[in-house]
Order: sequence, then C-alpha cells, then structure tokens
Amino acid sequence: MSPEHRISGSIQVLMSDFRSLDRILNPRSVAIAGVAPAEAGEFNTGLLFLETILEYGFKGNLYPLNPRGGESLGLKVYANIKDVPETVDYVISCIPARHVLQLVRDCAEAAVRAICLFTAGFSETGRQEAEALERDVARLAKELGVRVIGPNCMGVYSPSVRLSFSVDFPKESGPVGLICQSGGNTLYLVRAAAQRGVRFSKVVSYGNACDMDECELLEYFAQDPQTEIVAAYMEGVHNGVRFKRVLSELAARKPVVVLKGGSTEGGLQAAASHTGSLAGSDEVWDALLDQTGAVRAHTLDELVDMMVTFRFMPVPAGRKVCVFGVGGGATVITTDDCASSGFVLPSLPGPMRDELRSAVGGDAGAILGNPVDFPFWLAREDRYRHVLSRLLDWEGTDLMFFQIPLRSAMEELDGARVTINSLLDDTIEARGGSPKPMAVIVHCLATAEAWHAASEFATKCYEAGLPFYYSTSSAALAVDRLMRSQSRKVGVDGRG
Amino acid sequence: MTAVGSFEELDRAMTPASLAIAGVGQTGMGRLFLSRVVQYGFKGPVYPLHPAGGEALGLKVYPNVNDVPGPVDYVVSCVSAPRVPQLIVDCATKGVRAVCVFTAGYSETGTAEGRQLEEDLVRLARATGVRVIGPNCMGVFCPKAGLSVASDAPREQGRVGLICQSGGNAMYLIRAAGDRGIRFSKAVSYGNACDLDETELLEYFTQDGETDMVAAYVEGVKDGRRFLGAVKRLAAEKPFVVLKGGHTAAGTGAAASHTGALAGSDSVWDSLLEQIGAIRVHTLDEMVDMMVTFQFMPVPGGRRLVVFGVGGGATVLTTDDCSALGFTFPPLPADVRQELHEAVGGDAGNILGNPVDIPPMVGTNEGYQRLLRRMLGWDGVDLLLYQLPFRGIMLKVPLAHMIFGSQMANVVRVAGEGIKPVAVVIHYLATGEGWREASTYVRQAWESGLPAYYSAASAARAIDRLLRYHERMRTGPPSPDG
Repeated sequence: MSPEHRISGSIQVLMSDFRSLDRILNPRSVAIAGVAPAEAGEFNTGLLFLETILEYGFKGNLYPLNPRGGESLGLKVYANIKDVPETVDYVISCIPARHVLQLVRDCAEAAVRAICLFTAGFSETGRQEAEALERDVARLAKELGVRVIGPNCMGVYSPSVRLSFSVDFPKESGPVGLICQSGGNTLYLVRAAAQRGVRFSKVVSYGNACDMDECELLEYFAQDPQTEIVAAYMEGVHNGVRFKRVLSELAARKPVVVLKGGSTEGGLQAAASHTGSLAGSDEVWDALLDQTGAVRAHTLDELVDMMVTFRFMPVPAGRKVCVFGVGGGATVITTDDCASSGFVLPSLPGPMRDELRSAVGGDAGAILGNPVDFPFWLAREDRYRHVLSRLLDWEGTDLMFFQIPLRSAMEELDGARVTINSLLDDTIEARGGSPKPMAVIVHCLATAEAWHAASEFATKCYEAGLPFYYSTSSAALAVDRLMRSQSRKVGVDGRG
Repeated sequence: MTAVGSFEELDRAMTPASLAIAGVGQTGMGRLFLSRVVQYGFKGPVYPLHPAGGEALGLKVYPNVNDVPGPVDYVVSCVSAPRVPQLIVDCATKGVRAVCVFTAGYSETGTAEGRQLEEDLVRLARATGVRVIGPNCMGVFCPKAGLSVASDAPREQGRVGLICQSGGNAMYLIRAAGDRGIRFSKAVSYGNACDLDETELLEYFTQDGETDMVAAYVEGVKDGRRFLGAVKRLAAEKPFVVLKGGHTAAGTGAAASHTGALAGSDSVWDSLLEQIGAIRVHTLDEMVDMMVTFQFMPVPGGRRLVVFGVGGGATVLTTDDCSALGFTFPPLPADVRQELHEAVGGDAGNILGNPVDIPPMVGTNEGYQRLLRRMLGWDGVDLLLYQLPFRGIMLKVPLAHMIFGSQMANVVRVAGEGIKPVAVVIHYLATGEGWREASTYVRQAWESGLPAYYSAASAARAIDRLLRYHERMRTGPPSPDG
C-alpha cells in the first residue's frame, strides 16, 4: 500500500518512511496488554511475554497492562495504556480478539506507534466475522495512525534494544534481517541459525499481515544499513505486483533468500488456515523468485544454510573443488553430493600426491587424489597442517569442502570430541589468512548426544569465520545457490 | 569366479563362538580392536595374537594362531599387508574358516603393488579354503555372538541384516538406526570384497531365518549378472533397500579409490534395481528411514492422511512435504471438526480442518486421547502423521519438556491401540538441547512400536516408498527365477 493511501487523521506523521519503521523495530518502551498477575499461577501468554522480555533484558521501560491493575513480577500493572506515564512505542496485545478494537483506540489516544497483535482469531479462522474484524482493526488503525503487526504473530526481535520473544535468542546483533509469517518457524530459524553463527539485525514475525506487510518490511530491510542479508518465510502476499517490484529492488542490493510455505495444494489450504494468506501456485512463485533474483529455499534448513553461506562463505571464483577429509565411505558420498550440485574435482597434481603419501606413510586406507581421504592420525601434527595449507594453496581449485564424520567406526564419542576439536584447531590455524573459500562439514552424527557435541564444533568454526554444515549435500546445495545467485547478479550488472 | 560357501559355513563366520585378533601390539589398531571387542562383550573366548607374546588387557597373547589351545572360528587381521599371507596359511593349518582382513593397502590404492597383493590374497584364500572378508573392512557385527568393533553398538539382537562396503558408513547406520529402535541380526562391513562379496552375502541373508529385511551400501559390484540374480531372489522374499555410493562420475572414481570397486552408471543401477523389486535410496539417512518404516509402520490402506500436531508454520510445511509426495488431505467431517472446536475452545490460533494444529497444552489427557481416537476412527483416512516441533514455542525447555512429554504419552497410548497406522515426526530441534530432548520422545515412540522421524519430509518420503513397494508387490512380485 502506498503512503497516500495511509490516511493519517491524527497527529501521527506518515509512517511509511524508514525512520518511523526503524523506531518501531527498535522501540524504547514496550507495554504488554493482557498480563495476568504472576501470583495467580494461571498460564497466561501476556505473563509469558513479560517474563521473557524481562529476562532477556529489554533496555527500555516495560509496562504490563491489565484492567485489574496490581503488580506483576515486581512491575506496576496499569489498567489502561492511557495511564502509562510515558508515550509507549510498541504494545504487545495478548488480549482476546473481541477487545482489540478498543485497544487500538486506546493506543491511538496514548500516541502509541505500533501494536503487535499476538492475539489470534482473525482471518486465519476462515470465519466471516473474524475476517471482518481483521479488516475493521486494519481500517481503524490506519485511520488513527497506529501501525499493526500481525495479528496472529510474535512480533519483533531486535537485539540492539534487547527486545525478544524468546530468552535463548542471541543478545548480539548481526547483519541478517528476517521476516517470517509463522511465529514457530521464526523461533526455529533464529535458534538454528544462531547455532551456526548467524546474528540478526531485526527479525519480524508478522502473521496475517493485515497492516504492516511483507513488502513494507522488505523495503525497510533494503534501506536498513544494519542489514546485509535478508531471509523470508512467507505463506502468501497481498499484492503480487508490488511484491515483485520490492523484491527485485531488494535483491539488486542485498542477497535475499525466500522460503514459500504452502507450495502444494494441501499446503496452500493449510497456509490459508494458518495466516489467512492468499497464496499463488508453486510455479508462479518459482518464476517470480527467479525473475527478481531472490534465492528460493525449499525447507527451513535450506533457509538456514543460505543465511550461513551468505554470511560466511566468500563467493568462489569457480566450481573446481578440493574435497578433503576423513573416512572412505564419507568421502565417496561427499564426492557424489558435490558432483550432483555441479562441482568438479580436478585431479591432484602428482607432486602433491607424493607429498600426501609421504605425510601418511603410504596409500593403505587412504584416498590420495581428489577427493582426499586423509588418515590424519597417521600424520604428525605439523604434517597435517602442512598438507592442508598446500591443498588450500593449490591453484587448480576454487574452494575446499572439508568433511569430517563425527566419529570413525571404533571411536567413542568422548574421544571423537577431543579429536575433532583438535583437528579443527589445527585446520583453523593452518588455514591462517588463506583467501580460499572453505566449507566445514561435520556429519554422520547418528545420535542425539552427537548432535549435542556438534554445536561446539559449529561455534569453533563460525568464530573463525567459517561456514559450518551438518551434511555434505546441504553444503554443496547452498554453495551452488550462492554461486548461481552471484553469477546472475554479475550478469545483470554487466560486469561480466 | 568367487567360491560359494554353504549357508552353514557362512553362518559360522557371522556368528563366531571364538575369536582371535592378529597384530595386537602395545598400541595400534589391533589393540584398539581387542579393547572394543572386549568392551562390547564377546560371548566366547578372545585370543590376541602377536609374535612378542605377553599379555594384553589381561589376556594371554599367543605368538601364533596355532598356539591357541581351543578352536578359533573367526580371525581379525590387523597385521600389515605383507604379513597377511602367512596369517592365512597359519589360519588354514588351525582350521579357521574365516579371516576378516582389516588391513588395507590393496586394490583401493590404485597401485600395481596393491592390486597384486589383493590377487595373491584371493589365490591363497581359494587354495587354502579360508574365507576372506575384506580386505580394508571392519568385518562382522553380530549382537547374538557379542561381536562388535564399536563398544556403543546396541547389544540386543534384531531382525535387520546389513551389508556395507564402508566400515565408517556401517557404524553410522548401526548407530543412527539404533537410536531409532532398529536392531540387527548381523551387519557386515565387507570392504574390497576380494573373496566374500556382496552377492554371496545377499544370498546368505536371503536364507537367514533371523533376518526379515536387508539393507546394503554398495559402491560397486564385481559381477553384475550374479548380483542382480541374488537381489531378485532376495527382493522376492524380503524388503531390500540399497544405497549406491559413487553414483556420479566423480563419486565412481572415489569409490574405486576407496574399495577398488568397479561401479556402473547411475541410470543403469536405477532401472535395474527398480525392475527387480529393490528399493533404492539416495542417502544414509534415507536408508535409516526405510529400516524404521519397514520395521515399525503397518502398511496404510491408502494415501489419505491426517496431519495432526502443533504449530501453524510447522503444520503448513508438513502438509507441503506430504502433499508433494502424493498424500491427500480429506477435509475433516463437520462433526469431528465441531468436536475439535469444542475441545480447544475456539479456532483462534488453531487450524481445525485437515491438517490439524492445536495447542499442546489444551484440555485433559483423556480429552486429547479422545480427539486422537476420533481422528483415527474416522473412516475417511488411512493414516495419521503426528508432528511435534520441539520447540517452536517460546516456552523454556523444562516446561516444554513437561507439556510435550505428556502429549507424546497420549499419542503413544492411542497409537498403540492399532486403529490406524501412526507415524511420529519430532522436528525443529535447532540446538543440541533440542536433539537431547527429541531423542527421549523418539525413544518413547519406538519403544511402543511407532516409527519416529526427524523431519516431515523424510517421513513422507519413506512412507511413500513403503506404499509403492507394496503396490509393486501386489501387482506381482518379481519371480525368483524370471
């Protein structure tokens, strides 16, 4: 929707400009409507929000609201937003849908900038009255100059002002902006990406998008200097023509990756019931994303892989890859995965092969070509580092896939943890300042305990600036997508 | 031509009652082998061998296998390649019938010496009648005999047979499948397959009364015609799942360097395997999914599916995953819908059609069970997929654990009544903590005989393969002789 459609009948200025949105996404004060008293002991989402925001350490003032007043978690509870002694930027609504119109009116009177409607029970139900209510809320908010995020959403996660809807989200900011039409998927994406070193500028779970929609948010991220990479999970768009323009403009400036939920007929139905989305067919989405230059992901994990790749992987100059790692079967499978994604493995020059052979004292139980299955336990430590840096310097390749199955057949988990930690230390040290792009894959995890252990390897890698993956096929797919999006961009820019 | 042994002969190698390990020094692989075999708890006597004699891990070390007082069924060679021929000769004298040559440095090196060593090894095996497993392999895993090279492998015997040309992949499969309730009759890591090969092993598993389904990771076959004949006979009797390592041109090269395998082109494999009733998978995890599915999933009567679970976004994506593989979502009958509506007190934030997304903390356990029974009892559906994202909600782990734990108990209880097939998907794990939590639910599921998956896509793919397998078997199983 264009700014002129946004009739501002109140003292509010037009809200579509970057600064207004920026203030909403970095609020200085927050109120939560519908907070039950903590001592009542009932399960209440308002109270859960309050607890979460307090514990996460919000930097501004926080005001619980409830007509009953009183106190909650040591904070004074105000009966109405209008009673709060300062002008509040951002209000989270946890009250039932039928009270929302009144909340919008109260918020407008109190000059609140934005309401995040966690409240559900609107167009996603498919009921006519509920759809009408959503339209009424949007219309009233527009009239009164209050912005609405949602309904049926979790709202804003903004680490720089320490606003979050989950206590375990990272406290540090980063260069990735995320919009997500599902709250649950937002929680998963932030947690899973954070494990692998991705940090966010702002994240918005925006639900039914009755007022603030994907287009406006993407426009914001296009302009936002804190955001260098944009990711989106969306179930539908309200205005396809505008969406295409916005996405094209954004993709021309920053890498964008999009996952479309509801890409099948069954899923479309589910998406309509989830966020009231009108979603186009899968082919339409494929074409649309392709034309705009956005990267399409097909699963949440692919979306995470792309955030990791855009964040940590320099664009390789070509597709000549050196596959280096441990384990015969793992090496064969890795090679298949790389070849399937269009990478080629040039053969290792003879002298380098000889060097590798002398480092491990022979061919037995090793693969000393390209791929390389290098039994590092046979090599002295300095020889391992030497071999690795030789392979990284090898001019015949553009990038390296470094793969380690968590443990060999006979290895116990504790032993494997120690081994891989020290192997990664050696690898990071040997790599030094090498400009050769390198993906690290620790895979074949097998058990929950192994997954638990893998998070420490992920941390080690991202702290050294390396992209980290849990499978070789996902790494190959992500780097392939990185390269295709880049070559396309170069083509468009005419830089050849 | 490979010598073909009798079932009894192979069975003795697969379930040995006594074991010797050659090359047990103060350090090195022989010693590691010994310690793992002892830790896992081999049921018969274990004899370490080393020319220096002495003791290892409290066991007497014999200089030669012929010094061992009792019979020896199975010998593991951890000596260097040049010493293997003498070991084989000694084993023949002793009357040992099978030697697992862990030793590497043969055809997989691609060198003329390596190939020569392997040819010599085969010739010696033929001449002496000692069967060689490998070289370049981990050999036999047999819970019944207490034989494992990994101390953490499951100790219980099961009914899945596995052959695997890579030792690392074998242990990954055993561990990952073990985590999801799969137990094995026997698994064999068979490396370069210079003597005992994939074909003979498949023939063994076809006959083996302790094995109900067979999985294989194969990088290449030596004799395609014999292999296909064996697969055909096996597939006519038991589900057979195969993963071909080295299916791209580059991967084929890697496979040659790994196990010296001569691998055919991808398309040849695909069409041949399909035709003769094998189920082809493309990743190790897909292979585990198929083991889980054949073991725990009753065959659904059709593709009409109810997705039931928690979380809007998770429900949408689960529906996509199932829909993409040809499952259909009949709309919920009005009365069932009404019941759901009443149970959760409204449609706000829920999806009350098919799929169903309702909050995890609604109503009583009895109420929740009643709803599940209602879904399963509805004759418009063939199966139910229950999906639980741990934890796509803002609750902290302990509370989420409490809520989801009781929810899983409800699901397990109702699914156990056997009204319709139920698959459980535990996903959205995100963190190490998430995986830890999830594994407790996965265990809860398989201990009650339910198939559990870590993603909706993998569940849908596996169940689709199960259905297609049975459709094919119904239209006419491949004739064993045709």
